Amino acid sequence: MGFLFEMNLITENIINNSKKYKYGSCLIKDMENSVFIRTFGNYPLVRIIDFLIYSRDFDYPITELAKNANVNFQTLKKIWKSLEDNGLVKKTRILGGAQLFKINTENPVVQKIIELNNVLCWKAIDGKSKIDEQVVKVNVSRH
Amino acid sequence: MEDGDLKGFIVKKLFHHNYVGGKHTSIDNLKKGLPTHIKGDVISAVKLLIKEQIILSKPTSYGVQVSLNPRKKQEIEVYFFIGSNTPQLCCDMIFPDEV
Repeated sequence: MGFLFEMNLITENIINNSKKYKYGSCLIKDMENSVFIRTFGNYPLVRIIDFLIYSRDFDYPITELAKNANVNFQTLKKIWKSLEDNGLVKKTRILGGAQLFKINTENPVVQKIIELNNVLCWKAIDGKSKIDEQVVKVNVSRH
Repeated sequence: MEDGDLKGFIVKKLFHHNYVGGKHTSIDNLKKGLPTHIKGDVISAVKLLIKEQIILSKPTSYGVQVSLNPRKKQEIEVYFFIGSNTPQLCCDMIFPDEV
């Protein structure tokens, strides 16, 4: 009886896990790496700048930045000083004792980085549309 | 926070990750990276953007998927400047005929 009970538990676990796999982790995929990361490499500094670029409308505490940019907090603390010294980020306000930061869009270096990112994204889109056109042409010629 | 900021964030995020045309992502992924008190407004902002035809929606068995409309390049660019002090970017250089 004990053996059968254990077997039932195991099968239930398998069923539950498969459901989680089907509806939880498999079909709802995480977003792919951005064009900026694909171009400059998957490094902590690049990931931080990447997140700061597209969320430049909002300000975040450092812990949130680390979580959202998928960077370890200790790594972020090492990099953060140089970012502040170079004026790439600026303090906006203090909320509940925590300092909030956002990217400094008045800095010409940041403006150029944003511009570069936009050019890269438009190029990627343009390249993709050209490939789509080529596929359509090939399909039309086959028919 | 203004309504345009959230719409701008959504458009920027989709554009930044190159979700344009046929390449789409779940609506749940758009909430990631937002401050917690704004996450609830994402779906209404997406609905507004779908109404403006800037975002294309694709209903699937595993949830609504969204992507940017490649035919609305100029409207997409407008959202880059909402809530930021970024100067006019070099879209003239890339698409001289369209601008």
